[in-house]
Amino acid sequence: MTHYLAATGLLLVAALAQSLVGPHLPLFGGRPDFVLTVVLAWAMLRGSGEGAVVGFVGGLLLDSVSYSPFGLNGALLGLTGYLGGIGQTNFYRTNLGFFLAAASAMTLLYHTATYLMLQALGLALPPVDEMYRLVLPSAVWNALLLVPVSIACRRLLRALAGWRQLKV
Amino acid sequence: MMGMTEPPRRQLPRWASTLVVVVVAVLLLTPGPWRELEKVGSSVLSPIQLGVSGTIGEVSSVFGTLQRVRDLATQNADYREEIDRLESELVRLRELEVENTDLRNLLGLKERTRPGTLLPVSVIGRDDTAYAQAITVDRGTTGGVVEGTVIVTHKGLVGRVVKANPLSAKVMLLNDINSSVAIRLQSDTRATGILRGQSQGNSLVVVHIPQTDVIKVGDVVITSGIGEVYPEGLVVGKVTRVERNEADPFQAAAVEPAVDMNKLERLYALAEEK
Repeated sequence: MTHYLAATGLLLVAALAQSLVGPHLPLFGGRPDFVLTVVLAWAMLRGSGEGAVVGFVGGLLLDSVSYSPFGLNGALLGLTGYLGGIGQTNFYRTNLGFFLAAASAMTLLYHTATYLMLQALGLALPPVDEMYRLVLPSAVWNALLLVPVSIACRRLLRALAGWRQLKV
Repeated sequence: MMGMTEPPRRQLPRWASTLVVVVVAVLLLTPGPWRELEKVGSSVLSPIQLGVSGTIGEVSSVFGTLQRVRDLATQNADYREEIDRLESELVRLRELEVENTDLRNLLGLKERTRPGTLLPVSVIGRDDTAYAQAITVDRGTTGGVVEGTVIVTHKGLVGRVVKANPLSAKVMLLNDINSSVAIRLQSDTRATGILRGQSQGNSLVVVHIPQTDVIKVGDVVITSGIGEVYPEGLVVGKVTRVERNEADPFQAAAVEPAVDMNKLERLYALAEEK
């Protein structure tokens, strides 16, 4: 339970950052997805089960501060959290390239799913090429952010578990 | 040889030397050829006097300069303080001037729109993605902002509330791809059309303008009030480019919004009067 509370606190900060700070950090038009990054980091550390729950909670928080239909991000981030946690934690840790590539791939998958869902809901959308022109820089942003966010999540989890760093 | 000493010198008695001095002084005071001695003395001493007085003067002036520098430094600091104070005052006055202009425009705006209250709102969040251009403002249903409330600045239209919570509201901006505003061109033809957003970026486009209507670059675009979604007469922007295709029944125009959506400040909600 403590884990989920800690994750919720982290996701709240990420959602507020995405709403307040994200729009002012353009990288070739793309913005960072703080909530998605936290969900991916948590899922890669804790597995699919927790990843899905954390993704759902993060998505609802994001829906509360953003303009998207309420529940859309809850569903999509829950799914993203589940898929992100499928890989073995140790595999991610020993292969930085795969770690970063997974972050980019999950970002593309998440935004593609969002695009399809919004279209299914009947909302007007920009052309697909325009959408990917903005999503690709976001994928780069998220890959860069995933490393420090993962480190922060790991330290948080270890602190919650009572781990202490041995001094040799 | 031992025991031999010099003979004692004969000294003038004290009274004699005094007498000599007095006599010489009296003689010098009386006119006579010994007055020439005075001139000789002056000639010899004057250059020395000049040199010494000049040196003393220079030294005095250095001290005087140092004192003046100290005084000037104090004066300088006082002037700088005064300048800083006046600059702050100038900034404040400039802001007041801008606010004055805004309020004048708002007064004009209020006269053009239907009766209602202008409620000041601030941006507390922003959604700037490929799918949505929206902001969250700090006033909701408890503050008089409901779904459909129009948001404006002194320059013109910003957007419309699409979701109102008790303490906040989500505003769809004009440049959101799902935004749709019935407009009219402030030109001789008074052409009407539909203004749409273009996803990211500040640009807008007006579509469904009949080919028979003449549009010129620079034409002011205002809300037409058709559909009663937006009040009539709100400034939206200016035409920057006209797109015509003779084969189409309608023409389009690119519009630069009057309000820069990336720099939203001093927003107001046009609330209905109760």
